[in-house]
Amino acid sequence: MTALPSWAERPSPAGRTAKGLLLTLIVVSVLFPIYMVVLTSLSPQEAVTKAGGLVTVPDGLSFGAYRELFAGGVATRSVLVSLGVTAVGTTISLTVTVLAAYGLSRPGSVLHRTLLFTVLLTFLFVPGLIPSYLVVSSLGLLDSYWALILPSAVWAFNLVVMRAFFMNIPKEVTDSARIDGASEFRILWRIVLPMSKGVTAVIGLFYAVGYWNAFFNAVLYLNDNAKWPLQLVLRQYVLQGQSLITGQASVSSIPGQALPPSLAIQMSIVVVALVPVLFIYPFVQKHFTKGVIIGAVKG
Amino acid sequence: MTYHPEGATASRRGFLGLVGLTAAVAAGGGLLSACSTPTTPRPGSGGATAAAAEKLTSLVPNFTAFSGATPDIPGTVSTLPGVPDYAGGFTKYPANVVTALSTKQGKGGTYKAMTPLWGPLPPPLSDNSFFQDVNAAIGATVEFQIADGNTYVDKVTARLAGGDIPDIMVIPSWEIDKMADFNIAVDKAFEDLTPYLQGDKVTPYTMLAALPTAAWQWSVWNGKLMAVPFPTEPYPYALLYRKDLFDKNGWNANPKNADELYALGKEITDAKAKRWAFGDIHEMVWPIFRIPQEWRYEGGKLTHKYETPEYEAMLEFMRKLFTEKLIHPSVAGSKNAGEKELFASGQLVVYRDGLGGWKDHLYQQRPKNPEFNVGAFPLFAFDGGKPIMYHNNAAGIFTFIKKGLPKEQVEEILGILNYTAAPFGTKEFETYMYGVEGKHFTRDANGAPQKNELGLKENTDTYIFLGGRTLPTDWVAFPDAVKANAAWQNASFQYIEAQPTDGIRIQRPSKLSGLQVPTEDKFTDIMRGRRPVSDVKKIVEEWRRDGGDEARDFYMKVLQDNGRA
Repeated sequence: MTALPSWAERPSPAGRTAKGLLLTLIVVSVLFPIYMVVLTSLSPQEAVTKAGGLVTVPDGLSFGAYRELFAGGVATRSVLVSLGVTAVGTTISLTVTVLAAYGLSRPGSVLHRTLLFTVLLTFLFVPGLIPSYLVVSSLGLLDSYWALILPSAVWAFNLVVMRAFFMNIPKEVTDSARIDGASEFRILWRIVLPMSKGVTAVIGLFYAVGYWNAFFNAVLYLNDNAKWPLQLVLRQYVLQGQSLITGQASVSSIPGQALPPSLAIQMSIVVVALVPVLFIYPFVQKHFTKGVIIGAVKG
Repeated sequence: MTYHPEGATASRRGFLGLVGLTAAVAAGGGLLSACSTPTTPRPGSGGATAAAAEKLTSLVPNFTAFSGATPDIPGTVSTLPGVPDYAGGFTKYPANVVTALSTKQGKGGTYKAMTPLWGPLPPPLSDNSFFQDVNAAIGATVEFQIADGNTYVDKVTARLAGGDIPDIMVIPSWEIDKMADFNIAVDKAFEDLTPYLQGDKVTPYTMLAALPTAAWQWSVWNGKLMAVPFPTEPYPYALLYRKDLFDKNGWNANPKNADELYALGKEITDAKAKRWAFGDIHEMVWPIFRIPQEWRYEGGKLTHKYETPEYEAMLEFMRKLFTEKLIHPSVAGSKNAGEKELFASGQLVVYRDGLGGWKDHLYQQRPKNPEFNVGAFPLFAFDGGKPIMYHNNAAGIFTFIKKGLPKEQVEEILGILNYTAAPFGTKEFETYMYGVEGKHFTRDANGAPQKNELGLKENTDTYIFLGGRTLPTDWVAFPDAVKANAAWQNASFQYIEAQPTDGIRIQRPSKLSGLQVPTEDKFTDIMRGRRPVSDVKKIVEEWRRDGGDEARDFYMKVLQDNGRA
């Protein structure tokens, strides 16, 4: 009987137990913070004070934090803004990225080297805050929802990943379509995209999560508070009271200053911001590994 | 958080403080253009400037006191140049709330005002009856463009660079310190208010005339009065303690020297009972060790606080507190541990905070725990000798008016700022702080306004940031705490240490500000036992090389120019 190499042997019971314990530990270390966040968001203020921070042992149940969060109408409107920006932004970003990646993946397409080089340059030279602001301002996008979408419509990383994936599609497949008289658009739509569902889903997720989480473009480009997206509105809750430099007119010394929101409200915000991503992720997860890895390693 | 003396507040988060600006005029007609790099400090001495005290006096409005509500506990009038007064304390709500202004200040104009906010966003003007009613009372429409206070410097910088200036722009001093060329931008972006307010010209604006002269002096840039100031309180912070727990356990709430403070820490700390004596108190240990607030001028030489032997002694003392685990482990393990929550829960019982923190705790905890109480340690020095205390600048936040607005509009905006300068105890203050009685607020048993549900929903801090007014201790719901707080402030005033540059309006060198966080991070490593104390000299040398000496030259020149050296 041929001896198995060591990595192919059935692990010993001790080894299996150790691995099991290790994996359990990793799972717990991931889930426990989420558990604390959710539990704190659902705890009454007394429980939070008693715990002196995040609650780890359930001590009463209260939805007060969520009620307060959505009481003013501001948070509700910002949810709609964020959903709108995420939907429109992801659609535009995905469309532009697919078209650009396909074009750049076809050797011989017009100026494709120059364009690719230009795209890659943005990896090295990230525009600064002021130049970006000046561009957005001169395009007349200040205070418009487009300012949340267009400056970050195409991420060079996503474009490069998708281009690499498209280049990996056998040339024979597209050539046979071309022989049958298919146009480039038809090849892309009927042949390339159906073969690239995985990478498209993953890139779409990247964009969607990016738009959902983004707040800094809104900080810079929006003056009208009615247009603030969810993340910026929520940020105001989370960071309240942490801001002013000690030694200056502290916020708390100002008469009538609202007290900082309780940790429960802050954690309810974290939950609200997390839910959509948690909801989408399982549907895209199956594409995740193959989508990204295939595209990333073949260039 | 780090305290930055001289109003030289680099940043609460180091990376924000390192955003740079250049003075080049942007092609797009902007005021500043830059390739700002959030992670790289810019070289150069920034926009460091200084204005002589005498010059400042001739520029500012003539002071005329406003005879409004008199505090139940008188405050302290500052005799030190550039140091704010303490405005006193109210133990009960004024019986007669006076109307300060007899005429409408607005003339029907509409103005956009950018203000910072560290709290939940209120509904916009169209859906906000509080804004609508206050605007009606003022007689003009103020449309707020609220910006996140934590990223405020980015927004201000971008808007200044893009030439996208609102009619009214509020900028805190600690953000100004981060903007290297603000003294250039201020001229290009904002209206010179000298012709409107200098000397007797302030007369029509009775509330602005009642703002302290020291605060106005701090509003001078390039020899011109450029902004309306928000006066500050005298003290940056104090050592707050849980008075209820101290009383119950018979702990010593009046340590007289560093040894007694240490002994107190040993007595209180009981890890098994989840109780530690201290939060990160090191910024209050600075004055305890008589470390100068920033510079010491002695024998014709300027010495920075980092270079003093007292600083090293302070590091050794703090290191002892950290290594002997007298400081709460969450605080020792994280820069941003929730000290306030730990204090409220009794897990730590002494920490450093602004005096406003005292009020926050009472409002939050007293309703749930009537025994809950806070106190502040009387000042003391490490050796039991005469203590010293630091002081704030006279103004902490500034309101600027857009350059180029017609004269009538500038005057109307000054009228709006005159309205919002009405102090505690006036009808105007009640209106811009609380709205309309019965609609946005009701009165509690003490007669003090309390926001109702609509008030809580619609009214966040907005008008309070326009201009400024003096700030008495006005927590009338807690008269015992007001008495204790006022007594502490009045008793501590005598220990405020004059600085060599007091009364001179200095725009701090940005290089010095940029050095602060990285240097103090190194000192933190020493305090927490991650570096040996012997590294102090090396750290100081690096500080001197990277801009400390350059800053010393700048400050020495300031002193020489003002005949102080």
